[in-house]
Amino acid sequence: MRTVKQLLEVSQSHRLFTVEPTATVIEVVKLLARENVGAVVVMEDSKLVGIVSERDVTKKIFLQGSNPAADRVDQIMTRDVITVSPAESTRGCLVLMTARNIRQLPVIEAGHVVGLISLRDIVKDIITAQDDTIAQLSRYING
Amino acid sequence: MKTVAELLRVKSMRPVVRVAPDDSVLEAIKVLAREDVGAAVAMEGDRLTGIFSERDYTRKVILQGRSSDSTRVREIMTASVICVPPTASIRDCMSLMVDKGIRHLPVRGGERVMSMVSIRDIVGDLVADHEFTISQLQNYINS
Repeated sequence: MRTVKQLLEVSQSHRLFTVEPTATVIEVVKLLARENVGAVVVMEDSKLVGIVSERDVTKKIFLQGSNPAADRVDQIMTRDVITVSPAESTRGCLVLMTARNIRQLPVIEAGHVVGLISLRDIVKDIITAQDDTIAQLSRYING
Repeated sequence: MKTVAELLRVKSMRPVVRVAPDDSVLEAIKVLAREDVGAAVAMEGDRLTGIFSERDYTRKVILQGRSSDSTRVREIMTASVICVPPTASIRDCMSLMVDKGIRHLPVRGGERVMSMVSIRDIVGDLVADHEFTISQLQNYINS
């Protein structure tokens, strides 16, 4: 199975969208819609401070007096971010995502965020990689 | 290759999460949160009329400045629902999800909605299934 580094080279995962903690919820929703992604990372002075997803936004509705135009990202973001290194296998990512019930994993290399891996990126990759393997093995057998 | 029906048999059988098209968006979001799912089927009696997801909420309610209290599910749900029959392979479901950019597929036998599979439900299964195929082929080669 491939590594995160390899996945970053062939998938959309290197497209990384960031917001500042002081951005409003409505700004984040606009960004998610414009780029058609499920989450963006929250950066402060080039440091990763959180991640904010559609789920975070959806849950916010239950808070008293919530107002997407005024509420700030740092009120709803997940601060305890689970990250992976480029050397991690895509399999390891799947295990993490399943165990922690998350869909996105920021990739950290030498202290910098270099990508955001989504469940969908990995699924695409698995389909492609396994097709290749099976085709190769079948060719070998059928000779 | 395993079918959806077989996957549903091994998955802890849980009734499909449903909302009514005339529910308010706020009520529907509460159902998603309570059941900890990203989407629900919108049912009028036994008839499937749409699918309602977190994404519909963030894109069509927050972004368009509608009220979650007075907006009805039917106004923002996705009415043309892509379904699969119980005989569909897991692989077909994955391809549909990747191609159409969706995370949920209602499983329909005749007019009856039997269940819903999410991208998360089938990821682990797909991996295991293909590993089995690959190890079988490798055994064949080595024997």
